[in-house]
Amino acid sequence: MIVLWGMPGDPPLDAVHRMLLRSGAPTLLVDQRRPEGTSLTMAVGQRLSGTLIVGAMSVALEDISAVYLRPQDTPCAALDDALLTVAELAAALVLNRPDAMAANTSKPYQSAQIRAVGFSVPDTLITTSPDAARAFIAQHGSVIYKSVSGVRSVVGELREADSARLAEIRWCPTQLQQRIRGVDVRVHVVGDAVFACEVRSDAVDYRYAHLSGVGVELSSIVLHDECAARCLALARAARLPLAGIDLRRTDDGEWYCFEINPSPGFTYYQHATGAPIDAAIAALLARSSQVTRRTSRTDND
Amino acid sequence: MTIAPGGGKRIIILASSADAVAIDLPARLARSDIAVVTPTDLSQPGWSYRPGRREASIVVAGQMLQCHDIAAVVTRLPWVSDMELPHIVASDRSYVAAEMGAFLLAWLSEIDCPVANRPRPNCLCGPFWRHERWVLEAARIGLEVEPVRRRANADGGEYVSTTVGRRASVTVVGERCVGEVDGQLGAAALRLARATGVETLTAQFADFGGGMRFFTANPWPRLEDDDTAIALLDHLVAPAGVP
Repeated sequence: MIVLWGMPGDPPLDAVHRMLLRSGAPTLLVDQRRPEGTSLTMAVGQRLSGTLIVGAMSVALEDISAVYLRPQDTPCAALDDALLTVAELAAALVLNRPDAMAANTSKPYQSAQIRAVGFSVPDTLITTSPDAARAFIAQHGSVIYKSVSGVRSVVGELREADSARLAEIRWCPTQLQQRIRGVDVRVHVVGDAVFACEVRSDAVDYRYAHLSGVGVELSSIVLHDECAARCLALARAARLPLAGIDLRRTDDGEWYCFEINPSPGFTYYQHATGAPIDAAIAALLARSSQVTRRTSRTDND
Repeated sequence: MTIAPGGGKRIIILASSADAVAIDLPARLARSDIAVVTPTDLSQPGWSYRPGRREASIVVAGQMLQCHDIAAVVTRLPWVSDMELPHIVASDRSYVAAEMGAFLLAWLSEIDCPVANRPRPNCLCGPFWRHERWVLEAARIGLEVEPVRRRANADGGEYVSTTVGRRASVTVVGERCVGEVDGQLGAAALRLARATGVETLTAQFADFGGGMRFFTANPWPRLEDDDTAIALLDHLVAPAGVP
């Protein structure tokens, strides 16, 4: 059985759900909008066992072959925590394990994983020292700032006019990065498949280009083998069978990697390019239902 | 008595400002080489960290230290909470707490000195696992475990309790157990610590009928007890004259 968990209306969840229903794969949607029909009993000793009931359907936890997680915060904290425990421990393919996703809470922590597979990362300073920040800006000329944590923030460029505001950084470690110029490429890794989308925009942060009236053009591209292999290696190292990887290709062909997103909102890119990412995710989930996975969680890690 | 192991370097205890055990530790052990750092210190100018370059400076009680001035770090702070930051305006507190936590996760993962425990993405103190995960990890390495049972629905959740008889807890520091410990339980706790990759943990065992079984564990450095605290500091930084 394939379990989907989240709120209908969430485009990635809906897209994968549609594909699974179309394929006829046995699927159970745990709908966070209707928690009153959901209950879970579990026991953990030598292995995880128990029963998940959703409305009139029930599934033994041992029979869950794959899970796709898109949970939102809800008032049902106990139920959500129990389901997260199942996602953590089930001997199933989980997109993605909560403990693997947690690395996204710190960009510089992730950057160590990124460097290890051979991608370049921008020179970075995290500081509470205005003097150190000024020296960093003087060294690189053009510098951007972004959140250190996984809290979504608008990436901005630090200009001379902002110099007076640098005194404020004493209150909180602030991340500054050498600005890398080039073309953005968003890569989605789904198992062993790679989907690359080139993003052309004059905005510093193309996700928010509309706020400044700047246009964004997206198109599918084929990555060269070395870069694609590096993306697969990064997803494997981060234990993320599904990942959204943010790259930038410089004019001289160097590949920088900024971040690996463990719960990518892939539908934005799919709608623009037609890349069948939802179908690939559904196929990956369905394949796992054909494999018996009852030994331990480490099988899939 | 003042001891200065590690060639005059400082041992950093990262803790909550409400953690009296950690705050009092330097005085309790009469160790001038121990410095306690709380999230409030992260709002002092002078912290700098260059990821991937092993370059960092930190600020302790207004004094700047370079990485090479730090002999070891003991982390008692699972994460930075909003409540640690009364000096930050309320509307920014959650964001600043997340930023500080993310900074500490990266810095403590990279710093080139002993750290108890190295952080994991969900906890600065090491693996902060749910009860079920500890039991499964213990079972995986062959320990006798007491199964844990839970049920949950939209109205709430509960662990299904079992009657417990005798209890025992074993604290591991490095390659040894602290204090007088049953040999079998000590060996089990050591195996779990090795499998988990931590410098210190406390494993709990209980008799539910049929003998002692692993119950749960936590990676929290137990500084409450002087013997454990000294064992941990000695494990991280050999005292002067000890190879």
